[in-house]
Amino acid sequence: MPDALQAVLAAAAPASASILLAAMGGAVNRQGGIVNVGLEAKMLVGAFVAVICGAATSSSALGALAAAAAGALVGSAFSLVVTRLGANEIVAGLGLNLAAVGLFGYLLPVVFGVSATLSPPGLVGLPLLRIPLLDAVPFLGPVLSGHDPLTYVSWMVVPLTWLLLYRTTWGVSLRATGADEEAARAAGIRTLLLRDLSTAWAGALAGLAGAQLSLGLVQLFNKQMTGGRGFIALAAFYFGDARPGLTALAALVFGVFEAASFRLQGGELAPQLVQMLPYLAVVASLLVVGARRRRLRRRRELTPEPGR
Amino acid sequence: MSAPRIGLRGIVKRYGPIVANDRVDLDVAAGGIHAVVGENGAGKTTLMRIIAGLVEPDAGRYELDGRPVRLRGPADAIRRGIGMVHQRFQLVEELSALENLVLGATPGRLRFDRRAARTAARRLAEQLAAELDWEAPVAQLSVGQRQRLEIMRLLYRRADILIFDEPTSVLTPGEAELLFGIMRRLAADGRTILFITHKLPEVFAVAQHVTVMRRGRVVATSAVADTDPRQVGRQMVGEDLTPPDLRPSGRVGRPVLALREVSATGGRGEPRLRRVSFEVAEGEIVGVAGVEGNGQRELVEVVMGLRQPAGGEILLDGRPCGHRGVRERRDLGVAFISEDRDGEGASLDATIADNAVATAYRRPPLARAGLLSPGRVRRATEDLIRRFGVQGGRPGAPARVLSGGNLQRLVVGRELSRVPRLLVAAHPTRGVDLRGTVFIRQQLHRAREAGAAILLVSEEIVELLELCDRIVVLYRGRITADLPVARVTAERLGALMAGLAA
Repeated sequence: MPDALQAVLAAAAPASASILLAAMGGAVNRQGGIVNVGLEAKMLVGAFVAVICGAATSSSALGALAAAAAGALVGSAFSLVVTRLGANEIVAGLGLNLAAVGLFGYLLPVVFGVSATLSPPGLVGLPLLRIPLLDAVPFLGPVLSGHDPLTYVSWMVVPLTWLLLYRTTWGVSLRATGADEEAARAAGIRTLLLRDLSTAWAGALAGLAGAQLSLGLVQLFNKQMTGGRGFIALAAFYFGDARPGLTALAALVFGVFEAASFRLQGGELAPQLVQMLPYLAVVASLLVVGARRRRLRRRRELTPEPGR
Repeated sequence: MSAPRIGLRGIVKRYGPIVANDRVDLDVAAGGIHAVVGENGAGKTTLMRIIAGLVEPDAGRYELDGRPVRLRGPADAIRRGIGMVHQRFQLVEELSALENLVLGATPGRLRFDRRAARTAARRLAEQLAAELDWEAPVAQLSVGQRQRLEIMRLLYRRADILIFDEPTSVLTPGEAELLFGIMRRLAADGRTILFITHKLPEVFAVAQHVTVMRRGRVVATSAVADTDPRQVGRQMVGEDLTPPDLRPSGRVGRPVLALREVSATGGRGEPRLRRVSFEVAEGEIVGVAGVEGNGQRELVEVVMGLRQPAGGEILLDGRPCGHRGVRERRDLGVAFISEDRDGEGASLDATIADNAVATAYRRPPLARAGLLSPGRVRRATEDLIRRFGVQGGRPGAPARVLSGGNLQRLVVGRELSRVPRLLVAAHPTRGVDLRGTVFIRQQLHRAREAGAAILLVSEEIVELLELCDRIVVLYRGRITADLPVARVTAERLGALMAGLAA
């Protein structure tokens, strides 16, 4: 049993990394007042760009950087459509997701001559990092050590996000923008610019998340490889109320379920049922959030607001 | 003689066909408190917004210390030391008081320098002799605390001209006194205070100068020492307002509303109403006196069905109705003027017509067999606008375009378009100008004479004494007195509201 648990947890770390990265970006974006439904598309673009650039330069690091840049670029374009042209963020996000699916459905057969999966020659994946000392710790060693660099980056992004939101002047202004744009603007904050920057940041992290999928977990690009992880990230920061700690926790829990579903495949249960596991976990967690918020709201309704 | 701190020469501002400011001249001396009074729609707020750089005038000259300036937005104004405390606070409720204080001018380059912010906060709180929980989100602060935070924000940005737009309309009498103390202190430090109000006693309590506006023009500017409330009132309205006779005829019928030992609790189970019992009869106005926060809101909500009582019985025409919802009670003839005008009273985004018929659209003649008749809705709205003197918007316009006083006329008109069995009126004249106040009081009086039972919650002692048949005093959730109005004086009522033994 401990062996099985260890295996699941060790698999959960890389399995949750892409969700964690995208969710942290989405949380920052959400605190700035934009619900980013298009994370899925940016992950897919990131995964693709990582493979193309990784193969062309024979460097997985450059591939990952290019993926982040591409994600930021797509994020900025998405943001401008929302903040400057006044498009509805949900509709624009869904549109972006559909556009990405269509784009790769077209590009892969027409330009690359493959139906769904692209694995260019010369592609090198991300290395697995063995952390000395930690590696030797019983039980924890294999869980925490031996993952790809982007998995470690995903962990570092959590405290970084917290610092960004709560300990920088930028973070204060961004949260003010998200909470009450009018008041923020009246205080002299450039709210549109802040929103664009937060969306670009979310795009960059989603792009990295894509690179982690296509260079870390596997070494290829598949047009369906994101498998709804962008939406799971959305659920994670929704569950965490866009706060870094809780959001990260949710992302990790979803990752554990995903790892568990890998493990259970090949057992007695029907594989389709097992593959549903992470998504069922998302639905269950959202039910919990809904019930909790409802209770909170009811309590607040009964408490008179101060001074009213 | 030196140039005035602020000088306006022939300021004109038009909104379409409406002239909000018509060749306005105004001099404001440094280091004093200058009141600007006028009815709703007299152009006071537009003028203040021009001074604060929120609105650009169409014509005229704006001088600071004798030098002409042209403000490019509120950020430019605050750089020149001009700041405004709005009626609707410009605070971000989710952020802490400290974060709000420094918002837009956060200390530190990248790292938010909390220590510098806290030092500034402590200094400002000391200066205003106002304590605050700086780490609490603004949502947890009282209205008075929020207002003081707004003032400190302006001082943090080094404003030395502070403009207050009807600052007391949201405050309890005690908090208003506190604010006046702050205003006096700021003026004594050499800052210039401009404040809009339509409550004349406030002018004579704090200001040195008063400017009266009517229909976009300045009617008069005088030293407060050289004028008196009667004269200023006449200048505001343009005529003598003779207070109408609102004395009850005394024909009181059967009880309509009866509360028997009603209790209510707050969100954490703390008691808010303790065994409250009283009755309101046909043709009677019963006033509920008390300082805000002593259970008035809970009382109103329990009577309306917006809150479940924790114990006791509520009877409407002798039938228990504690379990009934708001709509059932309204169908039994209960009408409601909420203190929360923008939230419960009206929907600002809905049209004036939708607001006007919001309590009647389900019944004939407005709807038949579930189908709405737009023609009848429009005619009913136009009728209401005419009868209740709602000015400033056509039926199809969003209610947002109406000034506070006119929105309240719309709400009062909707609730009194039919004579209700019971009217629950919470602070019906709060934030309403002189003429509107007189009108609304008249409407309440008329409904009573037509046989309605009225429960009137108010903090205005004058309003209670003028209108009510009986007054009950609510103090810490308990009824501490239940007296016919003839046995109450203003002094005694004030003492009772403060919890002093009668």
